[in-house]
Amino acid sequence: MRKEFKTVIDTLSEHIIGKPHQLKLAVTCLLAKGHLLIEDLPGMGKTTLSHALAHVFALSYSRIQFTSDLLPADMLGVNIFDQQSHEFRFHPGPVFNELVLADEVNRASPKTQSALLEAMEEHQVSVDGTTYSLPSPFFVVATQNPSHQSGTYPLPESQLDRFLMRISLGYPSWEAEKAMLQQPQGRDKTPLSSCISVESLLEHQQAVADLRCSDAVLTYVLNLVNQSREESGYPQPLSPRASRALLGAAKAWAYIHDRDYVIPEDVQAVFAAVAEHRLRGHQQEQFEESTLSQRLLNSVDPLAA
Amino acid sequence: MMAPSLPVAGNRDSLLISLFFLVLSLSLFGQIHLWVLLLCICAAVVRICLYSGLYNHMPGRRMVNLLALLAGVALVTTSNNVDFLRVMVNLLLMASSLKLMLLSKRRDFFQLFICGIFLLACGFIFYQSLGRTLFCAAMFIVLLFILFSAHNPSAGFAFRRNKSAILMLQALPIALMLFVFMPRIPPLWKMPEGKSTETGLTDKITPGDIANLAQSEDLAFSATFTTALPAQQSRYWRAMTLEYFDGKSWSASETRLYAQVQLQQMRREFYPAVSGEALRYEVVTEPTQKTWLYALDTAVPDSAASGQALWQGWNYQLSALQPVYSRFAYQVASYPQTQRVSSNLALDKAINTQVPERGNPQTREWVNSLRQQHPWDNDFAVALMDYFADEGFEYTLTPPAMLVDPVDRFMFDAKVGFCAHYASAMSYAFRLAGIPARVVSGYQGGTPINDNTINVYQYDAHAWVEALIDGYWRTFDPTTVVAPSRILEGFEHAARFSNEMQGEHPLNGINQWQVFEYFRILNARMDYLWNRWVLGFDNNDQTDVFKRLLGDISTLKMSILSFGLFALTALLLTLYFVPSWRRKAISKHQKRYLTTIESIEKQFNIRRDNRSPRQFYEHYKAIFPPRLSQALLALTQEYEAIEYGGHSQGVEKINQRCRLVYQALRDTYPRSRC
Repeated sequence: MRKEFKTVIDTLSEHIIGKPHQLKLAVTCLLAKGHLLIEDLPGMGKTTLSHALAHVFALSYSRIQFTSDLLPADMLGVNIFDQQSHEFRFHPGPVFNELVLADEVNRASPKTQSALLEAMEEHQVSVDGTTYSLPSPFFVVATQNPSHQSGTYPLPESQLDRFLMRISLGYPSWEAEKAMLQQPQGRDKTPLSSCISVESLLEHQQAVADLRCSDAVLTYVLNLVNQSREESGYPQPLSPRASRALLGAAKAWAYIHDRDYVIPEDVQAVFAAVAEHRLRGHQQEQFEESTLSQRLLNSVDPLAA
Repeated sequence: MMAPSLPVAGNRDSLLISLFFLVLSLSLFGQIHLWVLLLCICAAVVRICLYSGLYNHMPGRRMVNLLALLAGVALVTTSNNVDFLRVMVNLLLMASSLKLMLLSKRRDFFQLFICGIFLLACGFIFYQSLGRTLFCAAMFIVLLFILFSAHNPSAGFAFRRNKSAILMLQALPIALMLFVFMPRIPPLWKMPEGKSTETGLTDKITPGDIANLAQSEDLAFSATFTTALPAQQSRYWRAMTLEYFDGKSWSASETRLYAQVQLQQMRREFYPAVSGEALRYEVVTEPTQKTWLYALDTAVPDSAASGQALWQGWNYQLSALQPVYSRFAYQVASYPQTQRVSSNLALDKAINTQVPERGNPQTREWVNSLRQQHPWDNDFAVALMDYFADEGFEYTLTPPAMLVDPVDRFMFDAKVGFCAHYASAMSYAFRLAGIPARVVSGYQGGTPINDNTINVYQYDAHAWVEALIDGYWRTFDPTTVVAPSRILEGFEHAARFSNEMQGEHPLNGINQWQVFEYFRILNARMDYLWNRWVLGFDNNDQTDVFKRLLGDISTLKMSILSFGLFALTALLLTLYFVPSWRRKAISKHQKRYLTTIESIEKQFNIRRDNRSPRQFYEHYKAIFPPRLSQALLALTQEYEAIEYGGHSQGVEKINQRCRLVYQALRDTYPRSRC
């Protein structure tokens, strides 16, 4: 593993105990310039994770608590009439930050959700006809409660597709939870030190994008997405956006592991996080023991031409 | 690896394929065991329940295994008197039904697909009509559609249609070529003999048999004339000459058969002396499983091929040398004006004056008195015919049963019957009077379907009398004087005006409309063409095609042609598969790596199962000895570097690592053959 990212993961692990794989995925997502969706029950550390991420990468951070009465303007910003200069001045909203935590994104009305998603996709917002660029890097971490909880508007499939990854933290192990309980209470904790500057983060992102990817891996990615399209039993086959996301995430994973080329294991490591929410959509029910993405992985040979 | 499974409930394709099997098994009704059909229906019901969500539990594997065991036992016990092919068809259908109940994986689906195609083809063992062929073609297309929809559920109708069309078009040239040129080598190309025959005529006439026969609308044979058609009333198609009478039934004479065998061994053949004008025609018979053939009197083979395949009996009966298992065509010339001389007067007389020693006393007495009145054979014959004409005999297809002294009962009590009764009674009377006589069974009439082709159906079956008078065999048909319309206008006509047939005969009523008549004839014509050119396409036709292509036939040319054909077929198939082969081409180092892995798999009895190289190593490294583990790790790293990292050292390095792996394998297991 690359030294600087090992430090990042270690630092993060101090706050989110016992979830190194999820932390690695989150960092991967950041490196691949994608947005992250964290889906879990309340109180599992979703907010803590995003907060920690912002600190570690020294990103400007804002948190938007999504509620059913949140309006797009609350998030994007408004034009306010300045009494002194007698003109309208744009007052940027919380979305103008490098890392935005959209907390409980599925509690907001679809209108607000779509405003955020537009910002995510275009990296810019338009207010009253004027377009404002969002900072770079721009990284959205959205959290959501499982959709069967009351008071939620489930994200439609088209919007789920915009998130590079969806992860869920899950309950900690016995030891991890014990370690957590032994730590000083919540906000009194020692603040996280930043490990990587914004400039070097941008450089890393560029390096990930330039990473070499052989034909064999491309074939593997194509075989995977085609399998989901041709095989029955996948209600929502993977889109070309999904295949691009898969490749990007695999590159970032390879980069974190200090390799200058992608191997099938990289694809497999990120596959569940990248593909599961796209394959399943908002049908959260899991009848089978294995998830759809696992089934898909099992049915494709990485060495097949 | 976990095989991907089809979601059971709500899967349309598994429902469709079970409906396909249901229709297929229903179309084989009568040819398969009833319980196999029931099993198939059960499978379809299970599928329908699963599809509609009425019931959500698949039948368990254990239950189906038990069912399979029971079905196997049932098949063995019910197949005692059934021929082998039929048993096999039953077995295949039974297995498919059981598989249908278990259908959950894609592999099952493809197995069923193959079985479906096979069973469709098996259907042709039982039915070969044009309609059946169209049905099978339609079913095949449906099956293809189901296959494509299973393969690619999201694809639309147009995609499936195009794919199916492409597949069919690709297969068509090969199928045509195989049909036209594939040599029909007899042991391969012959259907095994069925234990039950379903043809019309039997080699024994017991008055009563032909009534059932008359109900059958099946085609017996068709004849295509190159000369003008003979008139309806003179179309007596001889099939068998029956010379032995046991008081109830007429059958072929043992003495005659024995004599025939003797003569055959002595290579003495019978060439009837023919005279007068000839009727030349080709007959295409339906399979009868028997050797008898049909011809108008007096017939001789009219082509070299027919001369070899046919045998002229000494009783003017034409037979095939082999039983007719498939459609058979032969050319004959008939000379109706020929006087049929007795081929062997002493033998004919001895065989044809035989009667049972007792029985039918009334007839015996009556014949004696009649014979005294008419000492001349001719007069006696006329008197017999007059008796039938004047004594109020009636033609009926449903005569009462005549069990004891049947001739007495018929001649003096019942006085109703059909051709077999009349022919039997008249021959018997001739024999009692000392005049050699025999019953000829065959067909009378037939339906012209165009200017030169006559179709003869099973309901045209008939029997008449042949008596030896003044050294010549003369034909008498007592049915003509009783029911002239039967002979003049054909069976159909007679049946329609016979009261008891009302509402019974399927043809009844329909013919009154011209349109139906038109379609019936059209159908008969299509059927004829189909029989002649597709089903009847045999070695002779094949030879004709060869001749047209090659001029004369020599062994060298034939072998070149057959070799060329095989080569061409192989080439066509190759052309179809080359694109997919090319896409699947793998690099040298990958090949090398995979063969090495295969050796390890064999050695340790493990499987890679869609694992990537790294995963394979990680998953199994614990069970490998340290040296092999190291060598494999090195190989894996090298492979990754080349395949994914683009390092260009290539095959040499991989080869080297593979050798190390093999060495490690050999060292650990010296006796292994790697």
